Amino acid sequence: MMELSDSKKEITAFFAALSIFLSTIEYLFPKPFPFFRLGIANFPILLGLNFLSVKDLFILFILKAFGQALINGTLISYVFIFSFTGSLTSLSVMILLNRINKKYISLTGISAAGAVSSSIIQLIFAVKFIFGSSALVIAPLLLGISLISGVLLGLFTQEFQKKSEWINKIRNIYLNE
Amino acid sequence: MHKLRPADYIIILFSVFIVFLSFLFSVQHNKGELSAVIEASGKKYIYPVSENNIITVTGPVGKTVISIKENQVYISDSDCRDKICLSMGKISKPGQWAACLPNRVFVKIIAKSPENSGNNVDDGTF
Amino acid sequence: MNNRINPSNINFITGITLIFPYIQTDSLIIKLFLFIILLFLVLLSGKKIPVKRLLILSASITIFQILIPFGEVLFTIRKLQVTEGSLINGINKSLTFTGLILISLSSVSSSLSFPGKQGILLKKTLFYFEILFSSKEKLSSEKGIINKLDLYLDNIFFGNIKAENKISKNTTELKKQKYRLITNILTVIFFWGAYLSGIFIK
Repeated sequence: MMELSDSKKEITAFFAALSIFLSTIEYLFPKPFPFFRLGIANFPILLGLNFLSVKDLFILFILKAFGQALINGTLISYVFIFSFTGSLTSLSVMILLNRINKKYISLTGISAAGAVSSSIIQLIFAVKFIFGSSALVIAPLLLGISLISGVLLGLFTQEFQKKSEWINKIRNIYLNE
Repeated sequence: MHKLRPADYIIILFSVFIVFLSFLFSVQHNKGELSAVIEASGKKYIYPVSENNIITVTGPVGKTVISIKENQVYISDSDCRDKICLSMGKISKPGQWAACLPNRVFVKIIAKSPENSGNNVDDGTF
Repeated sequence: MNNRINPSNINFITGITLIFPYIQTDSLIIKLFLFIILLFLVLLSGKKIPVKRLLILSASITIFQILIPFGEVLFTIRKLQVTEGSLINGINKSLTFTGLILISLSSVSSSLSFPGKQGILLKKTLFYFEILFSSKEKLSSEKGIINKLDLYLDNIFFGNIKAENKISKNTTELKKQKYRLITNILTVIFFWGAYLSGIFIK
């Protein structure tokens, strides 16, 4: 039997691991901009938005940021700073939007907002610190792609949330602790 | 297919708007930058007008010094005999030019945009 | 009582001390030299160098730098004029960015020990990650990707939750550790030497 006092931590750790796993898959595709993510790593975060506590969400974020940096070996490089700020921005935006009554907003919008806000921040950082203002030409493309992927991810997650037994089990365990 | 709620649409529309804005901004930004193109002894040099700089080039007569200061470009010194080039004044707008003819130095300002990079400078003006 | 300092932590500290002198070096030639040393350092730490990734990164940084012309025009490709200043800037920035990745690769490893409760949570996270990454679970024959994903996650999470978090102890030979330590010290001295001499020579 699982020790109840541990289960919240266990779930948070697992979600972080899942997020790292998804972003590692993304990472394996070489891109000219290393910090530009398609954002599938947001999948566990979106799932957790409606039951994880804000504190645990931030713990998830820290675990994911550092865990990913340790595994990719990018902990002390510009890449880490970029992806850290991007993830932090998207998490904050998503948590805020999540407070809106579900009648008016769904995971799709939250996911889209998270993706786009993350890309904007990373773009600003990248232009200012590494690439210079000539990189602005690809800004519309970058932002467009993250918007589309954000929407798609949101739609998928909504569907998953409805049908998945696993996520309901997890949610019950977490909330009943 | 899920029903998208009102705020979802707002967010998506707003994001599309931002994408469009970034498009305008990037085009505008690249068109606005001015560069000073210097030609001397068969070599070509390009410098942004927005950054202060002192560039020395060589020609048949000797050295010519071009200064870029406070968004203006001008020939500040030259080894030519008459030094006419020094009194040519300061240039700062696209299309304006200055030159030290004895030393075969030619300075022109162009508006930088990706399509124009190669086409604006006239080779063989002499 | 275990008196050995975690070698991962030593490598980590070494990495941190290399950052400043590396970033601050302006001379392209010296930087190239330091970069090559970093390549060896990464190899010494047993990691693979992600050549393709680094090349693509460098190429894009350089190309974007070239788009802002500066200095003498070296040659022209189609309509793009490649200038000396931008090229050097581009290569310099690329070396900085990718070099930093190399420093990071050589000094960071998953066995880095973080203190406290957070450290334990991090270990748990990495534990689950290892499972996900090396997962032998096959996707079930259920129809539909959501169902497949659902069962997959279910199996992994509930199947492993009771598993002992085995901390895999890397028994690196003492000799190798010594080599690494010496290399670390020499590298730090060399990097700082290069940086400081760069200042004084100017």
